[in-house]
Amino acid sequence: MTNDRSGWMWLSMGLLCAFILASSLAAYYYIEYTNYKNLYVETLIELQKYENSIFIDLLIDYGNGTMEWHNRTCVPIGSSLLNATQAIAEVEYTIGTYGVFVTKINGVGGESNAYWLWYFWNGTGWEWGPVACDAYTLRNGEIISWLYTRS
Amino acid sequence: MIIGDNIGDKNISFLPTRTVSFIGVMTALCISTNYLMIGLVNVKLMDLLVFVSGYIMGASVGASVGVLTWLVYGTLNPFGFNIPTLIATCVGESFYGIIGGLLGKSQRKKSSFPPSMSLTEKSFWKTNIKFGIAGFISTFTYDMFTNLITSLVFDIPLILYIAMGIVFTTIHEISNFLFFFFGCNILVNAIMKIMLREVKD
Repeated sequence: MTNDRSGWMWLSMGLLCAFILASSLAAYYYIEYTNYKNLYVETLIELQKYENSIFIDLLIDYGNGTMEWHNRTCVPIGSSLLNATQAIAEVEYTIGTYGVFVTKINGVGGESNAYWLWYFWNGTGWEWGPVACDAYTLRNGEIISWLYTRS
Repeated sequence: MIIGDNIGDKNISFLPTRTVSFIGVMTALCISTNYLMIGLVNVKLMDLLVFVSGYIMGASVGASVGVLTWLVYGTLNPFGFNIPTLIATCVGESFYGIIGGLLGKSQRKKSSFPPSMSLTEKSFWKTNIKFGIAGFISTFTYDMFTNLITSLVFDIPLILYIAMGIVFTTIHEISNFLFFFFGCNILVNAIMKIMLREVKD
């Protein structure tokens, strides 16, 4: 009789251990679930910010060996190259017959017989920009460079 | 009940030398293994050693080992020192000794003491499971008690505090279940063998 009672007591204690362990694991997984759910919601909110945006890689080559890469630069859809350059650097320009002509980027420029010219990467090499930078509408993933060229 | 020597007419009793040395050795063992396993958070042999002390020598001895261990380890601790936490851990650790003492007492009444060590006997595994369960429940009690005190001291909601430390408490409970399951019976038998031999000598 006493042995029976003792056996049941130990069985109950064992089940209590299993209950504690299962509750702990359930609580742990619930906490993890809540954390990841919050992260997911935060990511969705963050992504919404970029819903109407594109990413480009922009190189500024000052022509003296200094080159600045601005990778994954985020700009709104429909931005021109001028808008993107203004977003990452201080730009001075004049407006001519064919559009905007950049004279200085980050204070570099303005010398006689030296110009800021822009190029785009066509997959194999750099190609000259076909239009003025304010007339060129950027596309997602494009690679663009500004090169300070002395003639 | 531990009865020591009486000095003269005065009824002053001292703990027997055997008991004092047992407490000293077990406390030293607890402290040294604690520092040895300091990198393993919440995985310690101390709880098993305190429980075994209580199981063999009684609840008061087990509780003493637990309290003394924490008085040293809690004071010279690389993770910091805090009086309320130290008191909580001292009291909490004594639970292991008390539970060990109570189980040892009931084991002495019921069946053979120390428990069987034969791997082929069913009773060996049964006893091991009982030790594992006792270790798990004691650890759960210890964790809940220390969490309660620490949350009160640092004014953190208890549920939040438990949730924050759930991984560590689970590791503590599982590791102690395994330590008690595999180590308790063997340790009790080993210590009893040494002590009985000493008596014979």
